[in-house]
Amino acid sequence: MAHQMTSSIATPEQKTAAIEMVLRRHGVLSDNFVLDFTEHADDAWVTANGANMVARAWTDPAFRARMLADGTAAAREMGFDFPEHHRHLVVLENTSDVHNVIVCTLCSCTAYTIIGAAPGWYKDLDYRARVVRESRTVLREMGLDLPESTEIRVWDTTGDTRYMVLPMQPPATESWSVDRLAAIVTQDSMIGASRLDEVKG
Amino acid sequence: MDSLHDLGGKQGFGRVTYPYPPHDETWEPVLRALSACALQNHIYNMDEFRHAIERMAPRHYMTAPYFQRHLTAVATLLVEKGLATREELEALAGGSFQLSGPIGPGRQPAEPQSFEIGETVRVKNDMSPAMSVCPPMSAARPVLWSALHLLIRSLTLLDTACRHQWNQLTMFGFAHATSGQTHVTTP
Repeated sequence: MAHQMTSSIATPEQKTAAIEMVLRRHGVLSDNFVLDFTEHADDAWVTANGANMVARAWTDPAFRARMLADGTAAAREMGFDFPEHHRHLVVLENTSDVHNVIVCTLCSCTAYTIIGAAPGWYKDLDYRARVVRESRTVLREMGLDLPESTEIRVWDTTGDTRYMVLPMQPPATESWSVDRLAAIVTQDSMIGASRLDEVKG
Repeated sequence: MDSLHDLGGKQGFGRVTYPYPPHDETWEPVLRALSACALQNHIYNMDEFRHAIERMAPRHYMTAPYFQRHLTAVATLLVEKGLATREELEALAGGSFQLSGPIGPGRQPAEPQSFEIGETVRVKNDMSPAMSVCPPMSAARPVLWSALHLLIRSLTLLDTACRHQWNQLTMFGFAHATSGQTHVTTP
């Protein structure tokens, strides 16, 4: 067996290199694929996409309505990638009474082309295991202390339905331009781990 | 088989590390690209990929961070699809390479059913060798059927995981069943 010839556990770097060699050997991996894919992911799948959708929703009621009715179409209308196999983007509207928070309890899926690659804490088992049962407690530990009167809705992502939260616009920013508004929208606020209440005019 | 997941939550976990410390592992974006390459070339599909992650041995799964779970799934599928043997992977990697467990025997999918929002349903406590994903508190208890909130997902795999059926139940927060009523609490 293999264990007779290998004594140590391969590192993730070594394992990744082995996978790369296998795909290359089978002719499915072109020379530039990894570089091109990574550049595209880094340039195109960024938090600014979701932030621009949120800022536009705050300033354009017709777009807001379209985005809440069909997030996938709204993302594509803005020119953002939303892969076919991600199927549906659902936008969850925070109100003064309702706070939405997203999780993926199976494999940490996100709408990463729209809100950017998921942060490390979102993919950690502690978040996945606890936010469904103890959402108010977990959010409080993360610095978001919601009043008991606020209903928390936890949305569990599936392979074919991905979510983003539409945070409430901070009152102090009422007269701001779309670009200035987009700059204050954080990834955490689109996951539901924070609100933007503290933003001052 | 009740696979590894956090559907419906699990008790005993600790504080979320937030904010998360800076993280820069150069192999992770490479692995992400390689998995995308394999998907684009139809070596496997997303459902097979997820299934391969959930077939990891519990001890391995619980200690492997996100991209190491992906790494295990990609390697497992390359072996199962005949692109390499485990021995070849280990020789190329220069060390041992733990893969996911084998695929179970599978079963026929249940007839599709539809439910009304607010309807009380009972989730079968089905521990067949085929894969199932079911939150612990819902098994064999009535739960509220709602189009909102927490998703219960159960996956039935046929043959070698090429065909599958997702049954999606959704329910409201964390549901307790008492005297036929369903209550919602969010601690």
